[in-house]
Amino acid sequence: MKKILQNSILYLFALLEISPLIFLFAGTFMGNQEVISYIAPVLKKGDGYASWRLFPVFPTLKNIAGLLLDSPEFFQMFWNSVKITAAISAGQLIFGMPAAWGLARYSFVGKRLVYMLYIIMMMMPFQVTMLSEYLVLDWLKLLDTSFAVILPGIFSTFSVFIMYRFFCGIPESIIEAARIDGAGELQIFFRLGIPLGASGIISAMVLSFLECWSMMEQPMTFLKTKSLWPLSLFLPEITGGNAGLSLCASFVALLPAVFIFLAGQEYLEQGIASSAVKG
Amino acid sequence: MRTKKKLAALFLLLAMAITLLGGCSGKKGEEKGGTDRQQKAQERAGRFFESEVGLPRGVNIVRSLKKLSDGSLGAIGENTEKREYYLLKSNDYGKKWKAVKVKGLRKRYMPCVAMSSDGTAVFFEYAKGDKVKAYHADAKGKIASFSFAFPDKGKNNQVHYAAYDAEGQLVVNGFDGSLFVVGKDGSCKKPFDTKGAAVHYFGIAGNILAAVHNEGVFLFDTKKQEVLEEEEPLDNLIKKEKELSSSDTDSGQPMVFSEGTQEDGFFFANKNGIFHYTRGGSVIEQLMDASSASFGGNNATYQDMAVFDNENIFIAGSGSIYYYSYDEKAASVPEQELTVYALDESSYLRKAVALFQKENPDIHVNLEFGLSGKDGVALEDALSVLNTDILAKNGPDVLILDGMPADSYIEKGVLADITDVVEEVEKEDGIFLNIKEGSKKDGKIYSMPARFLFSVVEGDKETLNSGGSLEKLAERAEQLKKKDSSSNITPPNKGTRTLLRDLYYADSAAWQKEDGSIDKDRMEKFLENAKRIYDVDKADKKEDYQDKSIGDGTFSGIKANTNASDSLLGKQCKISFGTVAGFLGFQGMCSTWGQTKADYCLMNGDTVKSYIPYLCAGVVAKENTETARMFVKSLLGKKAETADINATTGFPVNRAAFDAFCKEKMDDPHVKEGLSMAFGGSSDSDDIYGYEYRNLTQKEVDKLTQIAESLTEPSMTNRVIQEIVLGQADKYLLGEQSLESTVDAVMKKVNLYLAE
Amino acid sequence: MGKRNRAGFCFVLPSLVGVFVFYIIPFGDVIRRSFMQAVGNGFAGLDNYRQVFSNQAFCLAAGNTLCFVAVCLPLLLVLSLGVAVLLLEQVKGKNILKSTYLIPLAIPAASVVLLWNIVFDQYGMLNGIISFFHIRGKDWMNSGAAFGVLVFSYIWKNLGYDVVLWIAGLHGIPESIYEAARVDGAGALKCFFYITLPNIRPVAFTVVILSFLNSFKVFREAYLVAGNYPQEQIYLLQHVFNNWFSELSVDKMAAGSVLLCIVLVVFVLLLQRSWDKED
Repeated sequence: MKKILQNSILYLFALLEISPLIFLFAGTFMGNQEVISYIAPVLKKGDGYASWRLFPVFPTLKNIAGLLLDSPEFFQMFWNSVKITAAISAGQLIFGMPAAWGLARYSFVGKRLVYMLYIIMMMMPFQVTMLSEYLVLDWLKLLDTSFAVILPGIFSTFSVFIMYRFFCGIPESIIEAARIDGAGELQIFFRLGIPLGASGIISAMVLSFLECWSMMEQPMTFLKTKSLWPLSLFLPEITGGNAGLSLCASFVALLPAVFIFLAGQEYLEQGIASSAVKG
Repeated sequence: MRTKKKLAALFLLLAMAITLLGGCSGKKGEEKGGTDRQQKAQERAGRFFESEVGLPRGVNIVRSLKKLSDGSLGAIGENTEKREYYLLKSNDYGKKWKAVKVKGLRKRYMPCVAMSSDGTAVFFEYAKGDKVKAYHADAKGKIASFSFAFPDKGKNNQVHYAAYDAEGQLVVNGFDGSLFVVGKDGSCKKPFDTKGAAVHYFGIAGNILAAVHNEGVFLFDTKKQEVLEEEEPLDNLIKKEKELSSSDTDSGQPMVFSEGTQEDGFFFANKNGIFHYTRGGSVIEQLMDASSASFGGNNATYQDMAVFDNENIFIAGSGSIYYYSYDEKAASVPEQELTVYALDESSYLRKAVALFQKENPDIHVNLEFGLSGKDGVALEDALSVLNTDILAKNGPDVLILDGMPADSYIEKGVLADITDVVEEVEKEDGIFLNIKEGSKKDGKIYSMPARFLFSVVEGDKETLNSGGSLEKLAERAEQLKKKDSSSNITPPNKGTRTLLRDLYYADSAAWQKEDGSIDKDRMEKFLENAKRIYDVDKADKKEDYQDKSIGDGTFSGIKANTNASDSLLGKQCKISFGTVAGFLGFQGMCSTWGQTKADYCLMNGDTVKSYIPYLCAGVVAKENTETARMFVKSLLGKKAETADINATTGFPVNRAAFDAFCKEKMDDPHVKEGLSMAFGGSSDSDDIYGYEYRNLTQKEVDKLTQIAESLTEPSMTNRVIQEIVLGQADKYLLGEQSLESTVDAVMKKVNLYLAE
Repeated sequence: MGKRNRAGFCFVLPSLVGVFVFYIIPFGDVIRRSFMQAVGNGFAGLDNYRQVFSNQAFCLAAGNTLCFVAVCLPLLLVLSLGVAVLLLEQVKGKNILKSTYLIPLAIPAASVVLLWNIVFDQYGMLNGIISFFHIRGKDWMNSGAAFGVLVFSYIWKNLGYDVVLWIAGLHGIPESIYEAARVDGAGALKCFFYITLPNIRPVAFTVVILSFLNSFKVFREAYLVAGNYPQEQIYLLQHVFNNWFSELSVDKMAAGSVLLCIVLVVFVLLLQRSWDKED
């Protein structure tokens, strides 16, 4: 009985969470007319209430075709998103990972201050530093290049914070043992730190990937040239002309993120399992 | 577990594939358009300057242009009212024209015309079935008819574009994408195999026939009758800019082509500028940037292009001929640069900039439009970027403040005091003093409108009495409806937004309180009256057609004449009201009175006499504002203000311009030529009504001047407040919200805004 | 500093440099601007702060933001922890469910807003469903209920986020402790309160900080749905900052940001203090 209750709660929530995905998926295959007919009341064009359908009455591949064949900007922006996200992820591994390790396992003068700074910087909403960041980027002549978005992204303290907590969880005893065996700090980092903290690193990467993929304010403010814009800014308005297309675009835009989850999850599991054993 | 790994790998492969696909396109040989400063520096010394080309009497638009074999400029002109066609020829680049009337054509619209390099021309009629009747006109204007049938039958085709190639062959492009050569005997032959691709339009550049399709440009040598290799930079250009490949109107194409003196090279022009390309090259050379030229702009379409000696370029577009001549001596990158920024596209500004540039060749004007329309840049984003630039001290020199938070700018000291500039213009030409006073803040002027509009009420005598206030207007409308409930009383096709704006412009000035907040009671009255007026003919008002074409966001709504005199004429309404957007609109209104026996008065005149400021210019406070001030002076000056008497951008603030226009409209040359008639039809009945434009009488001019001088208050231009009020009022008119909650919402939001 | 700690500092250094350039310097500029006039170089002293404190809009927004956080945060924490615990006991379909919960994060904000518009509009789907029960629906986004919609949106989006983090943390608690407790006769509830909760503290800190961070992001949705001047109760701090920026009041914006920063610092310090006390 309890099992059934538990199950139902879980599945109910799951359904709620996934409903927008289904919504977008269905919409991908709907023709414009059909979409409009369902949401007409919201657009002030019809009477009654808005509705939706799981399976379109007139399924069509027109949207997908239109997106893949007729919208070169889509590809351009997709490529931009991939480029930016990949660059930021790589950079975070190179710079953020050691930083998290350093903060977690060592105590040096000013560590508390640095830690506090990192947290505070993470929490500031974008509007606050937008203007100043713009000026700094301008001074560095980085405006209107992809680097204007990539560099601040690499040094975002968010991923450092997540990795830090996981690194903290590694027992000191193992590290001590390695030190006694004569391992240098770098070796400890590469041979022990990274493998043991793998789950945290992966989690940080997955979450940070999400941030980058759906980043909106930064590219809009720092990138003037449209050809540099990432996918998150692509979604055109839902009007009569392209309702189906924009739903399709939304759907396609979220696919990579979903894939990353599915892929990353497995590593997540492995990492967690192995650290649990050690614990 | 393994399947997940496979999924991940699959995704990575897919991502790589997609990105490769995407990455390949649009990478090499791109056209650098727009305001690329480096590109400009690479241009050869000298610059192109714009000049106007007048048209001969009796011709009001140009349909085709051609460089004739004897070195003169040829064109086909049309008198749109009388539907007459003329063969034009000029030996001095358009200063003087010789016009030969084409005799014997039926008085109807010819959807497609073309001129040959020997001065003869062809005229096509609309196709009937698959057959097209056409006329060949010789240099003396004598016609001989012929006909041909489309090679691909059964497609309900029409002739889209036609042109003569260097061999004198007539090349025709159909709306279905077909391309073929029509012989003198009416036979049709396809010059080359397009492999199934639809040709959207084409151009002739000497021996080269350039046919634009979805993926690029087909090039064909008409002399050697062979297909030429495709050029990657051109193909990439077409693929990258979608607007350049489609052409679904018969008013013109996105690009036109012309030969130059260079072998294997040709010119082309589009909304981005004038370019030159040499076959086999890797880069398209930009000769001129359209952003500050009259032929540019997102909605521009072109008929033809003719280039003489590589230095005199003519472009026929939107019915006019634009002429660009190259001046070697002018510095290619002039010493002084001036940036003028406006949110909305405006051909008025373009003309003013071209004028200023001509008079000041050592100053280069950069005209930037924040909302280029199609890119989906919202007003918010454009303003963010602008604000950031201003704060970074990188901002423009002149701002056209429509749609911007001008009050904040003034408060924060962003704008310089231009009272002296205004007073200079006042001394030279005179300025409407009431508008000058209305633009003052603390005794100084920081933002001066270059034009203004006002709202009127039009109808019979009793209706005019109702022009005193919105309440009286509502009463009158209701009264008329009671008398005749079956007919439409208020102007048709006015949706909620348009209606609200008309009334807002006339009334909002009365709501402003000393401390900047708005008077709740007056605003409530405004809403009540608006609803009463809207409800009179509620049934017809589902769609807001006017608003769709006017556009949203900034003040683009006031560019059009929303006063519906012709609806009054066509008996589609009993009273008319709306904004009068300039002399043409005013003249049109007066011209209908012969039949409607109506008159007009200022709307809401008893409550407040309000004007709508438009194209408000401001100078950004910087160390050196001299050039900026010069520009603003020019913008307010007589030349810029009299550039186009028929512009629907309001009345000129410049007194001399205003008076000159009044005089001209009292003795209108177009009226003399019998050139101006307007026709309309209603969608309900088959009636076609029309009226002839006539000269204004002295009385009418006096009354207009009197009204113009009496306007004391500018309507509230604060965009935030307007958006709040109209957004909520929309809901109220449509019945989604009660009056109480609307007023409540508006006051709350406005107070929130003011509290910030 | 010991040699070891110096090495630790080196790990952190590269990241620190980047963070300094792209985050700390801009923030420094913000602090500077908070003492200056908006445009130009006039010194304004504490004027801006005075203005901000007495600014009604700011106070309203601050109050709303505080209210929002105070409601959402606990709600989300409790819900997500509950789901995580339930999920842990699942054997079948655990992975699929987990993936499902994460999906909302992948959906771009613009699509989410579209969906909310369709559901919560006056003629939207929610009202359509309610009308079946003969209850008159209201315009959710323009009434006090807008707050609720925003809370719902926040929880919907971030549930998965927190669930994943909780699970990672829950995994770290050795099964042996539970077994021992069960042998001693402890029931499920007792296990939860005396074993799970205490052991989950480190992760809890992360989850709280991150959820707090995400509560700021809800501005995006509010803005896309209701514009710059929404219904009173969803008028948040970022609205104020955004609007101040549009009107070029960057002096007030800077002062407000500094104040926000101070509040955040205090919050984090308090949090840390209470965490460290236990450890």
